[in-house]
Amino acid sequence: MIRVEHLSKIFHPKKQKNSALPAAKQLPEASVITALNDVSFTLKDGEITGLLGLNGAGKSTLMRLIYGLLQPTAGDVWVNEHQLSVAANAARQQLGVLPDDTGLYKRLSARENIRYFGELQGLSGLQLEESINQLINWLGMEAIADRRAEGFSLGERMKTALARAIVHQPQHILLDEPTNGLDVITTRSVRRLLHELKAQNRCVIFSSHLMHEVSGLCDRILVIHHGRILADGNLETIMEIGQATNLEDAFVNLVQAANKESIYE
Amino acid sequence: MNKFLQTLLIVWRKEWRDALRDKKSLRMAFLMPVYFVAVFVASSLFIIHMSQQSRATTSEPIKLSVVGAEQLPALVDWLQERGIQVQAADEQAYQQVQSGQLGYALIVPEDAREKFATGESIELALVFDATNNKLQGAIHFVRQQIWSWNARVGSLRLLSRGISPAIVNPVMVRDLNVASDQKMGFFVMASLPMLLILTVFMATVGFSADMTAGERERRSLESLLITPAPSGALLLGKWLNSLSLTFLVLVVELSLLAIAFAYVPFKELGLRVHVTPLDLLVVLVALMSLAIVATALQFLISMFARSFKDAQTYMGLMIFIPMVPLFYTLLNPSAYADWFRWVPVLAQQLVVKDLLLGGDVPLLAFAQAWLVAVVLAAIFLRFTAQQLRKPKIVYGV
Repeated sequence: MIRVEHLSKIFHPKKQKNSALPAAKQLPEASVITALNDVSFTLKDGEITGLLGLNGAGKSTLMRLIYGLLQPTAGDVWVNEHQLSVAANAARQQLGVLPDDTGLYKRLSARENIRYFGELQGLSGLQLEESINQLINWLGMEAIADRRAEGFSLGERMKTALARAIVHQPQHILLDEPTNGLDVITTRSVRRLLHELKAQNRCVIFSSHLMHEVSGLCDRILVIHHGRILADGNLETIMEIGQATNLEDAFVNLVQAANKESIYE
Repeated sequence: MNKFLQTLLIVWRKEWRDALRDKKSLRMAFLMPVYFVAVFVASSLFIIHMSQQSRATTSEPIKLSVVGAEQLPALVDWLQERGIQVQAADEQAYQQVQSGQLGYALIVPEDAREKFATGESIELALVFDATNNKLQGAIHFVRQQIWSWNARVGSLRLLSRGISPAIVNPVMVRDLNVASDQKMGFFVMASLPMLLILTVFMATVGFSADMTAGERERRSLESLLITPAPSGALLLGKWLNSLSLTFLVLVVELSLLAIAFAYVPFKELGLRVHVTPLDLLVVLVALMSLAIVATALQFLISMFARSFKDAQTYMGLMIFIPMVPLFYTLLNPSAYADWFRWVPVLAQQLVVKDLLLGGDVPLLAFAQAWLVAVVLAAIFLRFTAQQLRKPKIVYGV
């Protein structure tokens, strides 16, 4: 279970040095970016949640706040009973994270990459090797397992990174755009893996801007726009709120309505 | 604590394996000691060669071509007495020097005999090409002999008129040249601690930048920091990797030096270099104290660099930190104060210099160097570890 309460994040971009101008003529402080604005939700175990939003909607920021490499401006995150601002390392132990655009160690083989992270998570010996083999099997990466990551294709990189993220069989799994740029076969094996994880009663959240991906996989959808949750529920609920018969139309309706609102404000 | 150590070892092992597969960086790191020792041996051999040559030229007689030697036999006798071989030359001497056929020549005017007899001043001409550096020494010697003959004859003339020659010589300068080949040899030996200290600072610059700024650039740092591994263990594991590589590079460099000491004939310089393998081992111990500070500094700097390239630029500037005290002591070899022993770089330089030149190094000097180094390295590493999971480091925001 991941519980997010009243989470906000404001970025202060570096001020442009314009000290030659008198104070009155300085640009107004409008350059503050509100990446997340009072977001609350609870993710249940045994569910796949899709985080749907445009580029720059705040998906990655939300993810980074959950795994604690960004500190929230307000609010907090709980991973089971661990409060992130208090016990970040204990919380991280129960998380498996695939960050946005992650890189591998090029001079290590796929297996060594996965093993290193398993060891850092505290696994060792037979248990670790079994877990690695199982993931290699699930993701169909037997052919590349003992090749160095130098020169891996995007799909091969993504599979290795995914295996690396969940080698310690975490209860909670956060995937930031896991199928971005992957071919059909690879996307399918990722999808199969997500179903497998769900069957094991794990809590999965992944972000995407691909409608079919989200509608086909998710038990629950969070629509995020300009740092706010516009809609929260299963596919039917979202379509109802968005007044449309498919997810894409519903999503566009929701986003456009939100844009109008912000103009009237 | 057990888990901390375990993580540290896991990180170290992984980085070690990674480094061993990074052939390009390894080549760079291990070429440096070879290059440095080669430079040292080459400059030693050059100075030995120079000193042999200068000895050879002084033993060879200086030849002087004189036009009109018969006009001033007294001067010619004096020059010959001084070991100069006087050769007769014809009227074309000036042109011959100009065209390079003759190195230099002395022209005695035709009325010299007459003028000498009557006590008038004679104008001698010494023809030479000032751009020819090789002959400077010989010309200098010839000129000096002419001047001393001049002074002698002048004194005799004064004496014969009953005047003390001291009256025309208000001062006399006696040259006491202390410069010797041994001095040059000392200079070469004094530069050795500098080479060793530069090695300590530069050996693993590439690796340290690769493990921090490089890791962020390749986007694997974020995944690494999401694991529950303690920041301190991650950093110390990486740091130990740099430290152990520096250790290996130093071992290679000191082994090469041991070979150089065994084969380069330092005796020719009048330098009694007696450096045993044990001395070099003690040098290694002294240098490792500096290595823990230098590698910690590498991490501190490259952690705050925006990219791998940035990190390399900063590290290039970092090299100037040891250069300042090193050059100061190289230019002022006698400069010494007790507080030098408390300053990293200076302390190690003193210890290494004493060891190589055969002085005694008190145990206290080691203790001082190590104490300061450990404290500084701990401060650097602690600060860097605290920054490791800051958004500024991971995302640059």
